[in-house]
Amino acid sequence: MAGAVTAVATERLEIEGLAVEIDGKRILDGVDLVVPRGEVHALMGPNGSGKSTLAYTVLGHPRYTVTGGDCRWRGESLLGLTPDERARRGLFLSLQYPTAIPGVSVVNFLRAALKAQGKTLTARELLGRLRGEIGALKMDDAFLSRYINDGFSGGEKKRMEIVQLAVLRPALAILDETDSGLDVDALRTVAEGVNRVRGEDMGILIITHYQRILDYVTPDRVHVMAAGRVIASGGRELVDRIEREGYDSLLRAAGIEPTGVEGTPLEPGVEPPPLPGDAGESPGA
Amino acid sequence: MSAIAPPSTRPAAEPLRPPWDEPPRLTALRAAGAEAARTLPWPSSGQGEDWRRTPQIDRLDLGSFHQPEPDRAGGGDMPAYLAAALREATAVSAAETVLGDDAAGHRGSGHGDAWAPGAVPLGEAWDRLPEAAHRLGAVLPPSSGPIVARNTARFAAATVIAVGRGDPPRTVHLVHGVEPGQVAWPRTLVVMGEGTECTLVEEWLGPPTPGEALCVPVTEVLVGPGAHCRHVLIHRLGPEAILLAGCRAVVDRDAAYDASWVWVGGAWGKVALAVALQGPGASTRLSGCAVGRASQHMDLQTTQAHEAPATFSDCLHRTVVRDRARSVYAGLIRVAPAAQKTNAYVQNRNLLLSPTAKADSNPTLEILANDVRCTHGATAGPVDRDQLFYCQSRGIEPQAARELIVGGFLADVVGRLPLLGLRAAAQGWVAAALGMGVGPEGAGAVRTAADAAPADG
Repeated sequence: MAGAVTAVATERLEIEGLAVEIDGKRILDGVDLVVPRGEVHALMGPNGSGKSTLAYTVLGHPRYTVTGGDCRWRGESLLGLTPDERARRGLFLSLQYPTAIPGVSVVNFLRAALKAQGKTLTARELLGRLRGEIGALKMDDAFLSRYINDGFSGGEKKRMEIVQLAVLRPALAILDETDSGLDVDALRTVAEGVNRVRGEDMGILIITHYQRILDYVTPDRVHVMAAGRVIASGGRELVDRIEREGYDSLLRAAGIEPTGVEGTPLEPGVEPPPLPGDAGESPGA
Repeated sequence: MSAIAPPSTRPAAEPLRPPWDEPPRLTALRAAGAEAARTLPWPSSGQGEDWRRTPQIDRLDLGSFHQPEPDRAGGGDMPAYLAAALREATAVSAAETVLGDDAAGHRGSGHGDAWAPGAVPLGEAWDRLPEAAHRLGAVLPPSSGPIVARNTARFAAATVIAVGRGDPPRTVHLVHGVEPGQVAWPRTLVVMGEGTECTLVEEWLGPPTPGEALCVPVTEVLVGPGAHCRHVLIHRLGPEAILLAGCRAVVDRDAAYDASWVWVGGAWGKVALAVALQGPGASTRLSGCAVGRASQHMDLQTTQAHEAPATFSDCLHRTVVRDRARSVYAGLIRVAPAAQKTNAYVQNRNLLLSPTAKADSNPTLEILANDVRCTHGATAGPVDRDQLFYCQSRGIEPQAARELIVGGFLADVVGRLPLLGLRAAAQGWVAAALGMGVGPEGAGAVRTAADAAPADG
């Protein structure tokens, strides 16, 4: 599908030759990927292959500099848009390390998000919907008034991302390692949440390191990333092959030395994000 | 002292001679205040750490502020802004509301009905509450410092709140105003008997029209054994006003003194808040925020003095500064040799909303005991980029995202204010100071049952 150029506004995310740098270091090296609305795609790959960088870049995190290629949604290039503009066009990112915002409750955070997206609900409607989704994710109602992600366990943060996905109902969602760090019960709960929202109205790109979540959420397409590009695409059988053989044979087939891609992950947020004001000494000091 | 400051900046330290009879003991206290004011050096930014970052003190000309003549017969009608403030205070705190008697000379029978029993002007307190009134100057004697000394010499009348053993819990909202070109010397004394409860809200505001003004309040709090005092300081003085405030609480065994503050007003100011934990098991929780814009300068100094064993203190000061505003904070934990098993914490967090805003933070530990747990911390920085991105990734525009994050940053300290009505009002003051549409969990915020529960302690 590389080079599939279309000027027609279609309901799909089209990533074409995308090249991205962080602090002058190239992380993505010409990614080609298409995710239509209504399909579930899986993006797999070893650590450091650039999967999270791709996710953050699609949503426009300022840390990433696009040096080549394009990324379009419904035919419109996203590259000149701010993250909030992208989200308001229907994009959503479930973060690998969701950020805590102390002092901002779950319910008020989502209220602000819905308002920004022009989806006005009454307080009663919002609370009702939230209670339903929180219950479906096997979380307690008390999370409604807790500060978003503040003091949440890793698993609670991941569940809360799926709660947000279910409440915000984006047209295209990227789930960045939503399965990582979950025990098998939590994984099933999260997967059920994804299955509940999947449908013809939503495109989903599941980024994962392992095949586990794909035992519960069956992807329509599977892509494998390594060394900053997509090296293989296929159906469910690709997952089985990786489970059987690991990534090595795919890497070798793509001319990549397997040991060369392991290493320190370059995705942001490997450390929990700092609290506000943690940026260092006062400039006035 | 003339070598320290030019004569024009030397404030009048003559003891006030009101046109009514004062008890000899009060006359002697004023004289001691005047004497201390003559002998103690007036502060300057060049002397020591205390005022180093608030050089405005060097340019302060106390002589340029007029103190109205005390008038026992009443200073005429109460100014409209104070009348409004008292009405608001009643609504906000559902409390006994009291007009601070030093409110620029507006005293006397004109609003005598506002005085509640047990919260009375000193002239009357001396007769009606002799045991309490005689403690004036016990917690902050004239020798405490040049500002306290001058307040002692010059206050027109103090407010005394006495809560005797067996009395029901008290809530008092005290409003101090100041007029353009004038100086006010509010003086407050709280004396709490064993096992009593009292919530005192002190609010400084005015002047109602443009003009410089100076407000120099001094508050003394005596918290008896097992008593619980909640003290709220609200600084809403006008944009040209100066605040020099001193407050000290002495806390007896198993008693608690909890102070919270909301500071949004004034051109510049310094507040010194000290707590002495003098009885075993005494505790204090101090928390508040300062929100500055334009060229506001807000200097807070807190002291947590542990003087007895098994005492607890926790102080949290949060500031948000934008434009060219500046926050200065010094927080001292002092643990005396006798104060074993002390737990003490001090934390200051500053959010800088513009590159020209500044925050200086200096939490300090002075520990002379060897079995204690003390921590201190300070941070300063702009709005966190990852938090901003997280909000934006949900569609929230950057400006709205910043408001959400800043509101959240202040939410927990505002949430620690003791009265629900006060919390709601404080959110409005903070939002206005930030120039934002909504404050922490502000207008239209969705509340759940859990939110409505009082967040006490």
